[in-house]
Amino acid sequence: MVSSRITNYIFDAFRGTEEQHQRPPEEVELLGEVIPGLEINQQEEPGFEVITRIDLGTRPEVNRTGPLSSEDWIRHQDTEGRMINIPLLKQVIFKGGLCHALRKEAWKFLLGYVPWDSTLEERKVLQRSRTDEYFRMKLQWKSVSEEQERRNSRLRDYRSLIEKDVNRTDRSNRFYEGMDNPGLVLLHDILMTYCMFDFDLGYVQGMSDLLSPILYVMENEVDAFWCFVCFMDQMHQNFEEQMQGMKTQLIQLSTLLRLLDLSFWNYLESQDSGFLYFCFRWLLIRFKRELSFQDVLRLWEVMWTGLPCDNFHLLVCCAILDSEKQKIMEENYGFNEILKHINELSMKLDIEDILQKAEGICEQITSCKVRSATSDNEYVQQRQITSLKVHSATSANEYVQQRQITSLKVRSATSDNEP
Amino acid sequence: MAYAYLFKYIIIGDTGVGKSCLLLQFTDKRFQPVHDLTIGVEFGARMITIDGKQIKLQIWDTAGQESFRSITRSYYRGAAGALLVYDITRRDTFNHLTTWLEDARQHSNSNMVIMLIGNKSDLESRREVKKEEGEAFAREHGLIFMETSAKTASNVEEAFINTAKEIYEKIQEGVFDINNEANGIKIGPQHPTTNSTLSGSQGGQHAGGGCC
Repeated sequence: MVSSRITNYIFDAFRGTEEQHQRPPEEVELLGEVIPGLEINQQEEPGFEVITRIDLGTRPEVNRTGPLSSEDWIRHQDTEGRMINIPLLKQVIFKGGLCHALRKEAWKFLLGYVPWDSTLEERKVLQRSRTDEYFRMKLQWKSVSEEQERRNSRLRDYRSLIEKDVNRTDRSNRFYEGMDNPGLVLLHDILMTYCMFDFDLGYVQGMSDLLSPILYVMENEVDAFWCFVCFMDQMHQNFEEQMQGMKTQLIQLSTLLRLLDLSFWNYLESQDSGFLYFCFRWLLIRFKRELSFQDVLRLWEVMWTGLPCDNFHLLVCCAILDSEKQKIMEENYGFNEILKHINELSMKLDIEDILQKAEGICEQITSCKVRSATSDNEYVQQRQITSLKVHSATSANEYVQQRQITSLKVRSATSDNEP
Repeated sequence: MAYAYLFKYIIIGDTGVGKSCLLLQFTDKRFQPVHDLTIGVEFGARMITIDGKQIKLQIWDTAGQESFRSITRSYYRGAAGALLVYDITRRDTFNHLTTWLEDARQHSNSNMVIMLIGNKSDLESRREVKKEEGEAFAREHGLIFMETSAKTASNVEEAFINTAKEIYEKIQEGVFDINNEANGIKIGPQHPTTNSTLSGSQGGQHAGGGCC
């Protein structure tokens, strides 16, 4: 059933991949029949309404604010060091990011290394035990003799690749430049220790790019390691065998793009570019190579708030593509030119502009109109995607199920009770 | 800048063999020992002259790590030439050539000209792969072969230009259908005259980097 396969991608696109496995299949199947924006010409499932088109409406103007200051951060702390008003705090970080001085502390919360509701005392205990754990794992690879390593081809391969790549990661950044820079040793040691933490994954190219900004901010081996572990929890699938996670994301992005901009999507298809391979680097290392180092820090902290929806980075992709589509289509770019054009956007993108646009697209989606065609009349329903109704006539009585598309997880500062 | 033809090249081979350095040496005439590792694909372009005709080389430098292969091979298609690179100081990069070659042949057009390159020839003291072995491999698989040094620039021009000459010859022989862009050749705005022959082809004359 092609249609439901496609629609499942839409939901997957909005959903953290982790939750994918937890959802009961019948729910996914049912939700899968709600098809915003796809023109379906295949046989219809009996009784399900077919939504033929989506009316996105105009994109709202979105404002961004300045970064959160250290004083504001402290105002969100109780006397024992617990963070309070977290939804609001996250909203502020989403809207403007963090001032640099605050990153070292705040990233640990955003990444989930330390719990938001932990006291200062609890965090000290946690960090002590994490320190022990880190050095225990570090000792594991440090104590492998040459003799042993000769018989351990995987460790040998990880090591040789890490050694090569550490020398090829952000070397123009002051923190990593020059020979014998201590930053390089830290980068190396953390990546090697990560191999011990997750030997199955080990080291894959791109991971050094993800670690480098974290280490730069943390300026501490142990903290950087655990923050990196948290970030890798989100990014793990990108690096797994056969790049399945990457392929899934590219499909999700393609589905979104089709929903948002069918004419551009059609154009890309006509140029054999429908697989969106030109977004590979964006997705693999979360725009690390597309933006200046400082802008990467901003983008990542904004994304780590988890606002306004899961997989916000896919909307960031859509925002960038939205700005480029006119040129691509007007110049009639083919497969090669598209890839080249997108590649050459690197370091030319404006982070605030992109974030503004991506948020605008998100708002556009959450308040879109869905045009549906039932067997009787065509009608237009103004629907919040957050509470899309699924009409089904399979049972004797037609019933309407109001379902929260939880997968979209549009969170607002006021409704988020998460501590 | 106007060109008679555009040839698409790919550079493939294990990670760390010097693919990006070869490209940079060819397009910018410099060696940069410290550069970021390639994720996905990078581009370079340069104009060369063959048989009095301006030819633009559009070169795609791909990431070498095994796990990326399933994605990077999508960049192969429509390439007219390939530089298959190994590192003469690392035997394993030579051992992997067969896999690379199979991959390249499977995912690109059958007429693609492949140049085998043993890079880092400046590191003679650390050599693990004899030149004769490279030659033998090339002979066996019908490839052109050269040893290069991206560091000293030795043979770098020749590697790129000889590949272009081979492609150009194939065009003259009518092997390539130049009207089909899937072959990695595009006719430029400066249309080539017909009936030209490959007499006195002089490579090496170029317009410098950055011409795309």
